[in-house]
Amino acid sequence: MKYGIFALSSLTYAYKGRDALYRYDIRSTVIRLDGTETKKGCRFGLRVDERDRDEARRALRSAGIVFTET
Amino acid sequence: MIYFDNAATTYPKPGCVMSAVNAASSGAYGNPGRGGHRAAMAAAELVYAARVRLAMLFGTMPERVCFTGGCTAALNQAILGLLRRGDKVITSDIEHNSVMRPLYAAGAEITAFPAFARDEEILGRINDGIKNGSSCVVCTCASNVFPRTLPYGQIGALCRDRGVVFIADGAQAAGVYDINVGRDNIDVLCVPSHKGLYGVTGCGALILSADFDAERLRPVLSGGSGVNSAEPIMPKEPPERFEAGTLPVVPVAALAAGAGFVLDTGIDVIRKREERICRAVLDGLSGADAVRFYRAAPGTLLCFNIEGKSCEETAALLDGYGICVRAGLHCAPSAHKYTAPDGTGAVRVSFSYFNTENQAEEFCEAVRMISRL
Repeated sequence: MKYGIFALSSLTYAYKGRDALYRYDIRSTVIRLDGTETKKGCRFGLRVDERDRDEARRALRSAGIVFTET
Repeated sequence: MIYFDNAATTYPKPGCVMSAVNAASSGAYGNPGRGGHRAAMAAAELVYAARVRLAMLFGTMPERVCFTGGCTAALNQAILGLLRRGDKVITSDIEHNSVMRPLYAAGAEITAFPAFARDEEILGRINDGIKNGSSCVVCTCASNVFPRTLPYGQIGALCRDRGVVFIADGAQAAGVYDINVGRDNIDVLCVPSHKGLYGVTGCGALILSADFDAERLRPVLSGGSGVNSAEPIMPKEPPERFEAGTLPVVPVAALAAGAGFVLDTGIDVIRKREERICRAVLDGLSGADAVRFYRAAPGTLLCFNIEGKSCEETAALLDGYGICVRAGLHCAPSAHKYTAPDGTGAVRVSFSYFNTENQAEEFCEAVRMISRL
């Protein structure tokens, strides 16, 4: 199964993002991301079904949640 | 035992709080935000749910609820994080040391308004202070010595209008009086877990309004935050900005359950019950000439002395009757200029949702007996 991954600024924002997506009927999972990619250390994000990626992007933006996609 | 020291910490706790403590201490909870395994994530989920509940109670967003070691820790973060030596600050003359000592430690230039003045006069004094260069108002929402609430909504509106920061101490008011940081224009609200929110000791919260610039507060504590670990400084965004070190998961779970109890029961219902007990005490002792109440009014607590007895002696004698009250200065020495003229303090009785009118009657009887000794 393919996934879309959104990196959030903190674990708290990851949960906030998850709740925002839930309101759009999009299921997501809060996950720990590999911090070695950015060399910034610990990071958290949201994993969504690849098919939901576009709608999830729009939903997070409309909730005012800042993210980067990996 | 009759427990009338609820302003210090509430007892008993609601059943849902005890269940939450048991579940959080016996469940497989790891360190929230410190790892991605299921136990760490379960703890993180619990903490986030607590943020959501407190945000709902106090009118802000979950990411603006920052957990601290207590209300004092939150006030230290707010005051020491904002002020610099010489900054002018306005406060009241009945504040707890958890406000006054951080203000002194910050080196602030303090002006205090009289808390028992009419609301219009208080607002006028604050306005004058702002004209004289004060950049911040720090005061309690409700006194820990007297049944006195300050007009925090009007103070907030004035601060917002004049562009100064309003830090509110919600130690006694949270859970008993309706506080909404958005509606009341409170920039930073500090609350404890173990008083009117019916949680356990070891936890509190720094609650920021939705539009307060969190970067104006320098983090007082630095350390692990579980995010951007390679950076040498604390994160810019709350809540992690103000949450160095491991969060107290069990007290946070208790706080969430206690806040849920308050939301389910209703703040007005809780306060009205406490006011009923308070009225029963005032009525029960209305004919006791040796008992002197200070600034008495129906509220959540009362302060008194018995003629010919020190406050400590009265409290010890009440303990002999199985009644728990608090004597002394209640960590609010300046407030006691309104009580015993000799500066020795007074006896405080403070109520919770779980007290009864029968307890009030027993208390009154004990006070009458002691006053005859």
